Amino acid sequence: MTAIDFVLALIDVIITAGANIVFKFAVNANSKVMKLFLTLTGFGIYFLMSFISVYLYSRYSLALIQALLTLTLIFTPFLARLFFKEELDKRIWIAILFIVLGISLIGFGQSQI
Amino acid sequence: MSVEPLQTKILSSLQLKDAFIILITVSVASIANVLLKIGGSRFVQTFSPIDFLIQNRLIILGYVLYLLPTLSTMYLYKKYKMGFVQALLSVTYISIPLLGWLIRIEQLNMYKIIGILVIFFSVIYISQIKQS
Repeated sequence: MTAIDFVLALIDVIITAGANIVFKFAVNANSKVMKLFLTLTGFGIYFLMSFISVYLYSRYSLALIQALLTLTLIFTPFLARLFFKEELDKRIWIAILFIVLGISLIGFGQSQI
Repeated sequence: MSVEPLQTKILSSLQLKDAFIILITVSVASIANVLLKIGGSRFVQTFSPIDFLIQNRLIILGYVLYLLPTLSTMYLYKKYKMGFVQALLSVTYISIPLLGWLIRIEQLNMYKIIGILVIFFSVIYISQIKQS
């Protein structure tokens, strides 16, 4: 994978995690107008980031890209803690690390094919 | 953008009906991912909008299918903590390579199988945890 594509994948991860936060804001919003605006904003961010995903999917294997995009699992809870004061059980964090390991194994397995 | 204190009650453990919603979310997201993958590899650049829609229909269909998992994820965010939901939805990382293998665009080997099992049991474990 080229350095530029790796950076693109990281941008995809961080902004996708941000889109999840926008959706959470939408869920918590008081007015229907704000709910709709935030939901559409979240969709818009997903849509824009999907161009990066489709580009990466066209160049690399599905499993490898998924292995990178798994970093969203790490960023989203951190952002949730920052914006919504959500604390995750330590056991869930440990399980998330195992999930990241599992996804990395899948990506490694892909490189062996 | 002001953040109102979260008024809805965050559930401490996964309800059965929400487990089905997660299953449906993962299934549709997996299919959408595979469509984007196949569509991406066959991407046709054209300036005619109609031609673009027809030639890249798999990508378009992938995007449309993604609407359902996004909406169901928002529903889950209302009931559970974000990290909890994200961790449960990570079972998508199992279903995508398996689906890719079933339609013969991906191959499986020992590393992938072990990775799939690690994710599977981690997600099962998470679903049993009662949150504080």
